[in-house]
Amino acid sequence: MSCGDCHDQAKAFGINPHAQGKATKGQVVPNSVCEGCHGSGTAHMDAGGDKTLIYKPVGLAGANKTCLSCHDTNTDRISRHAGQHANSSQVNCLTCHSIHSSEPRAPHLLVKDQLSLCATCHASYAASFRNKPYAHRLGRGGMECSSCHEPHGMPFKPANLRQTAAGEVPCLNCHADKRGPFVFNHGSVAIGDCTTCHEVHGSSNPKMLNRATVMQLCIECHSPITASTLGSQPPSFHNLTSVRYQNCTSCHMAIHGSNRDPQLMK
Amino acid sequence: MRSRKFALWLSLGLLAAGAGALEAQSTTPYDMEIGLRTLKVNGNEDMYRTQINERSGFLLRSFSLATSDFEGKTSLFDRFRIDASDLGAGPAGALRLSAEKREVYRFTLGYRHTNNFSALPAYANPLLAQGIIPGQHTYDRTQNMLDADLEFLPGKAISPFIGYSLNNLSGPGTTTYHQGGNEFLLSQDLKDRDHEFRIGTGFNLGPVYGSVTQGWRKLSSTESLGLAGATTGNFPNPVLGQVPTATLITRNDRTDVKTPFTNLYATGQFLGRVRVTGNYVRFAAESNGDETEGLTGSFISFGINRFFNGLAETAAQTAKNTTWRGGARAEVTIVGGLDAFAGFQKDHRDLTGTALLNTLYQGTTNFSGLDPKDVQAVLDAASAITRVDNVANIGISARPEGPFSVRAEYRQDKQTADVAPDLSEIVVPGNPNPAGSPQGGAYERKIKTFDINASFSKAGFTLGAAYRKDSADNPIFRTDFTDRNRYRVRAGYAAPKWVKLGVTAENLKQKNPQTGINLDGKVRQYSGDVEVTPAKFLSLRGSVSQFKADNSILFRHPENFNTDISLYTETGKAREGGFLVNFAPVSFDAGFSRFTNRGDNPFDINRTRLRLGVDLPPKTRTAIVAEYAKDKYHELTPTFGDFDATRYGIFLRFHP
Repeated sequence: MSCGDCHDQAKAFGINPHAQGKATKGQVVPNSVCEGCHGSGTAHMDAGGDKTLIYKPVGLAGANKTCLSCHDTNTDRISRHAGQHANSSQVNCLTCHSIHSSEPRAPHLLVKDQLSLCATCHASYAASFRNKPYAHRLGRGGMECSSCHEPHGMPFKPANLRQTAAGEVPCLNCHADKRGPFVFNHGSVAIGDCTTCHEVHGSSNPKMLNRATVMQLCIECHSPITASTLGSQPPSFHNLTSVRYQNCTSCHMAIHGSNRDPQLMK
Repeated sequence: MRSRKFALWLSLGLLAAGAGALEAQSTTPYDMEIGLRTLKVNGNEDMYRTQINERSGFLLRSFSLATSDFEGKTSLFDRFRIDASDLGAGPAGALRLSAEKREVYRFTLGYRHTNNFSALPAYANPLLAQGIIPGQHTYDRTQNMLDADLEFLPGKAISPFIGYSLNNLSGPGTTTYHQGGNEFLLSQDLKDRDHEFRIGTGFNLGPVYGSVTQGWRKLSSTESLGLAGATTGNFPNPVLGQVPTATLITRNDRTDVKTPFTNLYATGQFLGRVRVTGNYVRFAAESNGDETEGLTGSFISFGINRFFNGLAETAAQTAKNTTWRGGARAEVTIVGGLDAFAGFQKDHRDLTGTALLNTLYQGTTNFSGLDPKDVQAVLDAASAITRVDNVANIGISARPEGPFSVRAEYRQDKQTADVAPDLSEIVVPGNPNPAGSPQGGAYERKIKTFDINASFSKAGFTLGAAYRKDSADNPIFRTDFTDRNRYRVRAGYAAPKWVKLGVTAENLKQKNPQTGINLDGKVRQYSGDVEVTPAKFLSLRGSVSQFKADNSILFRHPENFNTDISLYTETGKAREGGFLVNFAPVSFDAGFSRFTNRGDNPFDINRTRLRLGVDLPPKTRTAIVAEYAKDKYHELTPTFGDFDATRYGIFLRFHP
C-alpha cells in the first residue's frame, strides 16, 4: 500500500522539487517522499487512514519542524531567524509556500502569484501598482515584488532590498544605462538613491516622479537657504514665472549624470 | 526587429526542447494559452502607450510545462520546467526555464522582453501652452534581458557555477540641445548592450558554507543625435538682439564601461544555535568614452561672450566608481523561538571623473562688429565624491510557537560624503558648508533607527503592528528628514474556503524643522479588502484603498531670492470589485476599478476587465477564452493626455 492509493496529490507529486531523486515513472516512490515531511505513515495506514496518526505540518510549528530541517541556512541576503519575515505565527514558510497545491505557474511553490501573495499584508503597495498610471508592470515581463525585495530578509536593509551581483541597488539590474560612472554625477544619484526622485511602487506622476512637476521636484533640493546641505541655487535668470524655466529637464536633460557637462545639459 | 526575431527563435527553441521533454515523459503536465488581441484607442495614443502599451497582435498569453524523468530515459535532466507569459504583442513578456539532474547540474535561464515607451504631453514641455504635444523628451525602445546560470554538483561540498547576463536596450527617441538661450529638438538613436559574466563556487563544508563569485561586466553604449525640429528652436525670439538658429546639429557619443566585481560570503553554524555570516562585495567600474559634436547656424555663447556661427567639439572622458562593502553579523538562538542578532557593515564608494573638452567656436563676432575669428577653448574638468556608510545593528526576534511574535531592532547608520565639484560648475553663493565651496565640501549625517513589529495570529485572526522611528542629526540633501515615524497596522480574518478580509493602515511622517528648510511630509495609506466564496461556483472580491500625501518645504525663488513654500498634495482613492463564476464548462471573471486622484495632478481612471472561458468537450482538453479590457484615463486639467482604450482578445487554451 502506498500514500498514492488514497491521496491523489501524491500521484501528481512527481514534478515537485521535493520529489527529486525519489520518483519513478513520473510518480513518487511509494511513501518515500511523503514520509520526509509527514513521518512514518504505517500506523496511519494500518488504522485505515486515521488522521490523528499522521503528522501534518501546519503554521509556524510545521515550518520549524519540517521546512527548516533542510532550509535553515543563512546567507549574505537571507536570514531565517532574524529577518523581517523570519518565521512567525503570522508569516512563516507555509504562509507563502504550498508544497502540495501551489499556483501552477508560480515559481518556488508559491501559494499564488506574487503580487496577490504580497498584497495579503502589503495591500496598500499592491493597490498602488494596480491602480496608479505610472508603475512597474508587476506580474508581466518577469517582474515581481521579489525582483527588488528579498522576502527572506536582507540584513542591514530595512526594505529587504536586493542587490545586483555587484552589490548595487536592484534598479540597476534593468536600468543599466543609469549606472555610470559619470564624470559629473547628479548628487541625488551618487549619494542618495533612485527613490530620492522616484516613487517606485507606482506613482500618479509622469516618470514615476515624487512630484507632479519637474520644477517642484528640482527646486526643493536646489534651493539652499541655510544649513550644510548639498546642492546649488539656480542662477537668477532662471525665472520660474517663465514656462521655459519651469521645465528643468528641457535643458538639463542628462539628469542622471553627464560625461561632458557639469551642468548636466548634454 | 532583430530582437523580436531573437525572442521568437529563442521561444521556439525552448518550446521545442519542452516538446522533447514531453516525449521523454508521458505524464508531463502542461498548459498553454495562445491567441490574438485587438486594440482601439480614442484620444491620446501616446499617453496610452506610455501607461499601458498593450498592442494588437499575436500573443502567447501563457505556457507552462513541467516534467520529471528520474528513471534516466533522458540522460540530460531529471527535472525540467518552462514557463512563459505574454510573449508577442508586448509590452512585457518573459520566459523562464529550469533543468537539473540531481547532484550533477542545475541550469536556469530567464528571458525578459519589454517595450519601453514614453511620450508625455506635459513632461518637460515648455510648448504645452501652445498646444504642441507630446513633449520633446520621448523614447520608443526595446529591451531584451537574458540571464543564464549553470551550477555543477549542486548540494556537494564544492559546487562551481558560471553565469551570463545580457541587457540590450535600443531604439529611437527625441531630446533637446541647449545652446545660448535656446533649445533645439533632436532625434536620438540609442544602442546599449550590457554583458555580464560570472564564475564562482559554492562550498558546503558542514558547519561552514558560502559562496565566492567573480564577475566581469561590460556596457557598450552608442548614441547618435541630429537636428529634427525647427531651426529656430523653442525660443524664436532675439537673444541680445540676435535670433539663435541652427541649420545643422550632429552629435555622436560612445561610452564603454568595464566593471569587474567580486562577491563572497561565508556562514558558520555552530552548536546548533550560533550563526555567523561575513560578506564582502567590491566592484571597480571604469568608464571611457569619446564624443564629437558639430553645429552650424547662428548661436550665442555666454561662456566666451561671443556670437558664433559654427562649433566643432571633441570630448574624451574617463570616470571611475570603486565601491566596496564588507560586514559581519551574528545570530544566536537563546532558547527555541528566541534569537538575538547583531552586526556591522561598512560601505565605501569613490567616484572620480575627468573630461577633456576641446571646443572650436567658428566665426565668432562681438558687439563691435570686428572680423569673425575662430576661438578655441580647452576645458580639463574633474570631479570627485567619496561616500562612506557605517551601519551597526542589534536586535531580538521572539517567535515562540504560540500566537504572539515580536521583533525589535536598533540600527545606527553614520554617513559621510566628501564632494569635490569641478570648478566650472554653476556656483552661486548661499550654502555655508564646511569647505566654503557652494557645491562641495564634507557632509555628515547620523541616523538612529528603532524598529519594532509584533503580530498575533490565532484561529484565522491575524493582527500585525509595526513602528519605526528614525532620528538624524543633519540632512545632506535639503529633502532629508531629521525625524521620521512610520506606523503600520494590519488586521485580517480568514475562514478557509469561505471568507478572507483585511484592513491596513499605514502612516509615514517626516520632518526637518531646521530654519530655512522646514520640511513637513505625511503619507497615509489605508486599504480594506474582502473576498467571499458563498458557493463553490462563485467568489466575490472587493477592495477600497486611499493614498494621501501632503508635503511642504521652504524654497527660494532663483529670480528674486524670495522664500516661498513648496506644497505638494495628492489624494488617490481606489475602488475595486469583481466576481468569478465557475460553472463548468463555463467560467466568467469580471473586474472593475475606479481610481481618482486629486491634488497637484488630478485625474480619473476607470478600468474594466472581463474574461469568459468555455471548456470544449473534455476529450479535446481545450478551452476558448474571450477577453475584454477597457481603460479610460481622464485628466481634469489639462486634458491633453485623455484616452479611452479597448482591447478584445480571443485565445485557445490547451490543458492536457
